[in-house]
Amino acid sequence: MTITKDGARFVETEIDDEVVLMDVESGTFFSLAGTSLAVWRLIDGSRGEGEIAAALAADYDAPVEQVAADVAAFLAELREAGLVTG
Amino acid sequence: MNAPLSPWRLRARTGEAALEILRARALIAFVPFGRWRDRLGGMVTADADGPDAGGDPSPLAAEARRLARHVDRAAGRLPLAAKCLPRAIALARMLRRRGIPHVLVIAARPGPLRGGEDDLHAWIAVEGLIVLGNLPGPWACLLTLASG
Repeated sequence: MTITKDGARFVETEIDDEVVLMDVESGTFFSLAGTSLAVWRLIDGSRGEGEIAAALAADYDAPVEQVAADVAAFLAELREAGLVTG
Repeated sequence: MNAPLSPWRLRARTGEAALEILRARALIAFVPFGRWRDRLGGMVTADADGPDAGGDPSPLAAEARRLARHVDRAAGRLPLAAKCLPRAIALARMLRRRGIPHVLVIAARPGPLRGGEDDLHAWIAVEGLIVLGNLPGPWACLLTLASG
């Protein structure tokens, strides 16, 4: 299943090497940098969780198994926050 | 040029501002942002630049600045802390009541400069001029709500 951002749910702005998100329903702010930002950028509506993990592993030259758990945990946080679906 | 307001009308404005600040604090504390966001205005895209308080104010901006001073004065007299967002919401409601177009902007400081009390900030601009909440930048605008 592909992961999709819920664009109506947040606004974002890029500051240097960071993206700050504001949930426009709850008013909560999120700061994404480093690998969390890399995952966020890989969520383009065309990739599933496994593909995102594979792309991140390729970007960081790391074993997929090593990054898959972290990607899954981060995506779970994003789902729980209502920022992504899928 | 507008005639100066009588002392009692000035006090009434400060009282109005105090009530609006209290209302805004309650709103922020108890009601999810999404429930009242639209009442402040529609979301618009804006440049990621921070506030710029330069230039001569137009009559509308000058009036907005006068109202903003009442908001700041009221905030200083309240026994509860009223930071930038409740002040901005209070002024936005006062401006709306008077038909003065404005934008409310919510912004964040860049990461390397973060760590203080004012990592997030809100201000009000009228005709491009900051009339309330002009803190030194840099700021990255996250959300701009424009009155109708």
